[in-house]
Amino acid sequence: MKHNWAENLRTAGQDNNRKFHFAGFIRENGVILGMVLVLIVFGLINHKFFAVKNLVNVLNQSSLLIIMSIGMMFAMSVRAVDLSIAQIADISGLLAALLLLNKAPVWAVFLVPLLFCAAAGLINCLLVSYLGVPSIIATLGSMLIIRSIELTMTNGAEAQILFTLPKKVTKAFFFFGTGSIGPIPFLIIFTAIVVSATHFIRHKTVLGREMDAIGIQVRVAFLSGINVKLVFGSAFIIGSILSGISGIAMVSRTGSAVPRSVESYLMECFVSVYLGMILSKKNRMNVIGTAAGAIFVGLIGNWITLMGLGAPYKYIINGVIILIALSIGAMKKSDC
Amino acid sequence: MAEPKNLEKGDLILRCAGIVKRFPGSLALDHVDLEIRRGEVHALFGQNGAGKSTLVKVITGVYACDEGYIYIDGGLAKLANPRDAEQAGLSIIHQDQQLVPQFDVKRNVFLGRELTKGGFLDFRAMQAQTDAVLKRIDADFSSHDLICNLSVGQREQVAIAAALLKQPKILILDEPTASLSRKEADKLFEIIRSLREQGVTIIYISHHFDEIFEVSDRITVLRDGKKAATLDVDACSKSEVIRVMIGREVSQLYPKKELEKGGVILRAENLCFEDRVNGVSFELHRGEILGIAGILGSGANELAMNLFGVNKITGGQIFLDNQAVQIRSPQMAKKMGIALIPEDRRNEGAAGTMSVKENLSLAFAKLLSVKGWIKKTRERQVSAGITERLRIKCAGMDQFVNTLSGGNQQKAVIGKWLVGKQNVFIMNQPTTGVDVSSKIEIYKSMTDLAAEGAGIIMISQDFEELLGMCDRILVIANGRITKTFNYGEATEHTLLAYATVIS
Amino acid sequence: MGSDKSKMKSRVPLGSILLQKGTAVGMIGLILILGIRSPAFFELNNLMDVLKQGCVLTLIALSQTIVLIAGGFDMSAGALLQLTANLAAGSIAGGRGTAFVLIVGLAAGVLAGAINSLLVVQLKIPAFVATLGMMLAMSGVALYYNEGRAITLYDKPAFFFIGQGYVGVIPFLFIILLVVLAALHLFLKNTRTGMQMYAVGENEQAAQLRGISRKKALYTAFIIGGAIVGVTGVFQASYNYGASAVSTGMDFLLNALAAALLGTTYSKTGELSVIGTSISAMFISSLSNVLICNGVSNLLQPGLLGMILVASVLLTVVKKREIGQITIF
Repeated sequence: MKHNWAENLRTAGQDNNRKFHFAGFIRENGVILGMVLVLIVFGLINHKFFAVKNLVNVLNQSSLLIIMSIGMMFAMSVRAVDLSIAQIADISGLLAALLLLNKAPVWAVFLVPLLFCAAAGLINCLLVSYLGVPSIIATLGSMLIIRSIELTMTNGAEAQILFTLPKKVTKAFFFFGTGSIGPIPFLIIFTAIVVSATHFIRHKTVLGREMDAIGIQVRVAFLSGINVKLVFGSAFIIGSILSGISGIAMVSRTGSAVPRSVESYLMECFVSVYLGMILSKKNRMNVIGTAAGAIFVGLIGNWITLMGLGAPYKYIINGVIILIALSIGAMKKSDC
Repeated sequence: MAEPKNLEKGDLILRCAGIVKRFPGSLALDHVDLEIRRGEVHALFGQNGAGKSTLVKVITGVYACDEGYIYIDGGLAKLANPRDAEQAGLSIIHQDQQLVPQFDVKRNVFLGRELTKGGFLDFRAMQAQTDAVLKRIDADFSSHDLICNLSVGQREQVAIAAALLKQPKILILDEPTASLSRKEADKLFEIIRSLREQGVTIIYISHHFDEIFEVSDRITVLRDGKKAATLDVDACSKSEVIRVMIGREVSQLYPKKELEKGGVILRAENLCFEDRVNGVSFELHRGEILGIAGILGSGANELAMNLFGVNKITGGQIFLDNQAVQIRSPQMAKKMGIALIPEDRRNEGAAGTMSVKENLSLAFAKLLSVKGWIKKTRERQVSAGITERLRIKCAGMDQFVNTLSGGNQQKAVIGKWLVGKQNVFIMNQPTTGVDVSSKIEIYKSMTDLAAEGAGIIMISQDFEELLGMCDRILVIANGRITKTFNYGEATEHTLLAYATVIS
Repeated sequence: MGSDKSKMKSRVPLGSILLQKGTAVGMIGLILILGIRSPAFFELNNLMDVLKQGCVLTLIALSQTIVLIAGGFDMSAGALLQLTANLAAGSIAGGRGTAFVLIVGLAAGVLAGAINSLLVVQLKIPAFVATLGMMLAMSGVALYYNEGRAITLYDKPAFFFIGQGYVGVIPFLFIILLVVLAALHLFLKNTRTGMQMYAVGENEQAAQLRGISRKKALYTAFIIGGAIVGVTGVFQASYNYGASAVSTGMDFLLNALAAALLGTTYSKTGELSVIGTSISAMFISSLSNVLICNGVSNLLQPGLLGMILVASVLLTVVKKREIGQITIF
């Protein structure tokens, strides 16, 4: 009953809008049209942009952001944020590099960082879910703690260089980031697998449905007998593991681990998740949309590099895009 | 329609003539006339959806009417927005008195019309005026108490104080007793009577018969957006009002069936919870609808939360099928076959921006899935079956629940428990904010569930529906059962008497 | 009935007082213990340095608080700080006067605040994302302006006085902070607009029903917040002998946010207050000083801050046992 008043006001005012089919169409599909349009214009300005080789390259580069953004999306779909996600990716890559440098077997190079990330996710889960710390504070705390661990491990952010190691040692590890199966880079195939796997988890399973319920109306979920704490917390564990994977992928692709180098991706994760949300019909956080958003962000970054423009343009264009996309998205939301 | 002319300033303080308000797809007000006399308490009465709130919104300038005229003190009034109405001397107290809990009383009372001196807030003047008006309504708190420390009834008084400070000609109270206990409501009625003596005209909106008969001088009954009648309280009977309101006899409302009672399915022994539930014992049989009559604060709500594992009991024992059980969480309750239809539908029952289908499969998504994967066709079939069974009126399984009417939302809340095989249903105020036809359908689904062998606990403040539907009624007050009635033994009067006993 | 309840509330046992004031007690206790361990911390000069160091963070935290009070959220504060610090350093290096750069900082801040509020109020974009977009855009502009290079200033005594000077033993910057703090406190607690901003943030519907404009509250909050951050950027440039190339804005932002949230634990009702915010912000920034005095490696400082942050909030939420959802988007 509580919001009756305001809501009636809104429904009363709205119906005139429905007559303008054009406006409605823009509202429904504006974001995706806009995104395609931007890309076409960019392609016309710079012809190298649409070269297959370039596109494959962008896709390959974007894999890190795609996987990390999906991790963030899990946290955001239960109405929380995970500020530690970039730091976790960072330390995961760093751990992998350090293990490799210390001649650990390949399975350990992959497994140990992931276990560490899972543990970090578990701590986040306990803090937000079972102890009730607001997620913005809990994950800020774990971000700072992980940053300290990282700095201490590397004596104040020394880069860990892997490509100077003998090929024999790194071959298996580098295959993950630089190898290919036939003409297709392995990383793209791997990312496609991650996207489809998380898509199924998020949208086709009981767990995913329960996440929706918690994100939309947590009290309803609780009184429907859903294990709210477990589901809420599991979003953080899934997110941490995903970002751990992306961190390893990054190191495997670039051949070096620079502490704190992934931090700047945090903001791009937000951009991707929001773009993805606006792309969806129901205005919900979703996997495919987030992946599309991340690829779009990657394409913009690539175009800016192709044009020989620097980081300032990348920031500005990302900022402007998110604002434009959300203005259109807000129009859509007020309609339903 | 006659030319709008200024009328004689006389007996009538407010007159609405031929008010029409259309919403897309529906006619909310259909040529409604309303005449309010100076100094009277006039009740607006009708079922939910009869048009009461729409009419009030037109009068207070929230909606512009499509046709018709409003005269205040004989003069034609143009009420384009709430501020106009306020200036014309209309002041409204909303259903949920919206206050800022972290502010003290004087800040709340003056919110939006703060007094200032030299650019800064004049707390001294605000405090003096607030205390004066609090004294006028005989309040037992002061202007510097924080709202979050006040009871619901006291908050209502804060809202009244805020309205009175505007020196209104007409004071409108919209369902003011919705969340008040009996004692607090009595206090409110006292205030209303004293205000009438002070010459304030009051419009009182409610769908409780008793209140209306208690405080008002005249009643205007609305039905389906039309004015059904204006009656003098002294010259009419309750049954007459009810007949006018629903347009049919009361007995048709309740599709009660005599059923063979089965074995005991749930037994509570001496349940205690903090100081809210103090030793409640009862038995629920299969095929039985057990009513719990309690006013707000009686402990009935807490009892429901205990039985569903939301709050752990602090004493006593619950037995399911004669097995002693510990219910520690809603998950456990769900597994044991218990279902809860919560009191607050919008925040606790239905997830507004999820579809009908998603709401129906919310509680038992596991049953619709294989190894965690939700089976799409199965989900669709099951929810279509429930939609049909409960006659949920929706454009499709994918329509968002918040676009359905209150009654259909409630059906979706009940429907989500029908996916599993629950055999104990706890329904807390199942028909608040539900229109008559949906009410009948909800009652019918309760009878059906009972016929299938489920036990139903029906908690309600609407005693009439308990009398119509329940095989037995427990009356609860101060966390204790004060009386048990069998079907046909009680009247609204006796229920009320036992529900308001002072311990 | 209700007055009984309020009486009960005033008779709270010691345990719950500790729980309620846990954060405050913990913060002050921690600084005291660490300070006593290392006497260098309590030397007057060092204390004054601590105050000076904390001013920039506290000012940003104050701007964050005022936006939060009106129900908004400002992710862009750190980027705006970075931007105006660069603008100020650049202008001073280009030979402009101190008054000029202060006006530039103020104007940039007001403009950014105005754009933020337009996005939130007129275009109805959730505050979190709208200001996120602005944050990216402004970081970009700052980078464009300094071309990725740090701007270092030499020999500008008049300009340096703002951030580095002392009046007697008291840092000039701290005096400015006290003035801003007093003005904000007076504004929020004793004027109509201030009170209405609280009302909008606490219960938007109630405010709307009383004819209080949410738009006005948000415009005011964002613009005042922007103005404070804009000017603080100039102070930062003066304090740091210029502006850095790398973005430190995000760290400032997160610490400011943490200070505002910690500050709510000072009031009975969990209300945001500028005073609580200031104490918490000073605590956060003095923490690093006291840790250095204790010989703790600065590599460990982020981690310690993180733990303290979580632990102090834990003390206040441990009773509620809800899940850590947030509602800013």
